[in-house]
Amino acid sequence: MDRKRLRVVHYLNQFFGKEGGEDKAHIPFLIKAGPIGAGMVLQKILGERGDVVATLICGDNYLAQGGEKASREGIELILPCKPDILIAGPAFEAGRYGVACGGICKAAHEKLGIPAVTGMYEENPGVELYRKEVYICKTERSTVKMAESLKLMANLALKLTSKEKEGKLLSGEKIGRPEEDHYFPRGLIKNEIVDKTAAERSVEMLLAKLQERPFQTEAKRPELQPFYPSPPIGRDLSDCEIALISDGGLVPKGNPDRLRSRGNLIWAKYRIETFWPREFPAAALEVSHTGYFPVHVLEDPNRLVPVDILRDLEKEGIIGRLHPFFYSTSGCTTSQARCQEMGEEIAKELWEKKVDGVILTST
Amino acid sequence: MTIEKAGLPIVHITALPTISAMAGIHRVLRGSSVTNVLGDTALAPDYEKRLQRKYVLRALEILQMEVTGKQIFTPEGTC
Repeated sequence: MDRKRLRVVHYLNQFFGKEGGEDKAHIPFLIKAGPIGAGMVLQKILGERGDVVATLICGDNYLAQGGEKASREGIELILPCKPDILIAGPAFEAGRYGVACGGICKAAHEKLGIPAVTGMYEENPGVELYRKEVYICKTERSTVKMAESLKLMANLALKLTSKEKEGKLLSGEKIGRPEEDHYFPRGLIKNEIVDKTAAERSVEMLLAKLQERPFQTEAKRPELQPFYPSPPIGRDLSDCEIALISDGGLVPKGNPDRLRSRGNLIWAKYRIETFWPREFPAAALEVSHTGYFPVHVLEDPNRLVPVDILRDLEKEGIIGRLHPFFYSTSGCTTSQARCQEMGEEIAKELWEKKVDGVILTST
Repeated sequence: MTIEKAGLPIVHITALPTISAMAGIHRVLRGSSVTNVLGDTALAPDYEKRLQRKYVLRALEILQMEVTGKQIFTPEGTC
């Protein structure tokens, strides 16, 4: 089959696009010719099959917060490049980057009809948000695996048979099952002809399950089970105790409990009277969290944890009282399992202390 | 999520509410921005204080609401 050289656009965030770090997370889209940074690795992987004709760069906050409107802006910018494929990231475990990559890939598929592939670690929130609409390759946590991840993504992109509006075939190969092509299941059902009937396969699976032998399910249940909402506060607010929690990594200066700025596993509680002095609280606090630019919070911690506001409301009689302890953790790439455990531990304390309501603030 | 499962009224204020809703939280209030979830650095200090207070009062209001499904709120209404 005659393969034309594919025109590939590579989407990168501000960091991988070499524009800056968290200080540039707010920047809008910009486009540069040719590959940048990891894009050069992508170019090498593509070899004769394609060219990274342009790199689309955007700040994580701009795209993750901007939603569909922002994604469409990005697509407008790449139209003149006439891309055949969009490759985004990979984002690994970076949450906002994952959400951004998912968004731009979805927009590329919807507006341009071109295959768009990204890569993320399984716990990236972008996976659950976008896996039904976007091909997301499974990557490891660490950016050390950049080349391997790009290889998986490029292979998948090349395999995708075209749903382009022009109806051209990109390659002769067909997309395989999620396990074969290393992407997260999209919830698509494809008919396949197999030797055994559904009845035979079900009985075999049931026998395997009863005999505690391994078996492969054909339909995986989603991991996150829904639960009932908690009841509202049933009493007068002026009688209630309200607690504050944050995963933005706000800690006393010196970080005495050593909350890690990344992959943190612990929470701490701080007596607000000592933790948050009435005068100049910013001087007594610091932030241990590498997932966002903390400069605004360090200027005025109320921007993250509204202690002073609640103190005012208590004085005015609008609430009964502010719970004397602030519960702090740092939620940058903490595993879902550990987050749930921490939640249970904090919930137990709050329940015992008879707190009426909780405000959780995140970045 | 686990705090809500324990039956405690909780509202999550975040600039990325879809992630929270996806995790199953029922009361989510869309915050201002990632780096400044309750404020806005474009505003003069007194007016920013007013915005912070608005968010907190809205959060307290939401804590008193019965919800049957996941709801993303804004300071004025819902998404």
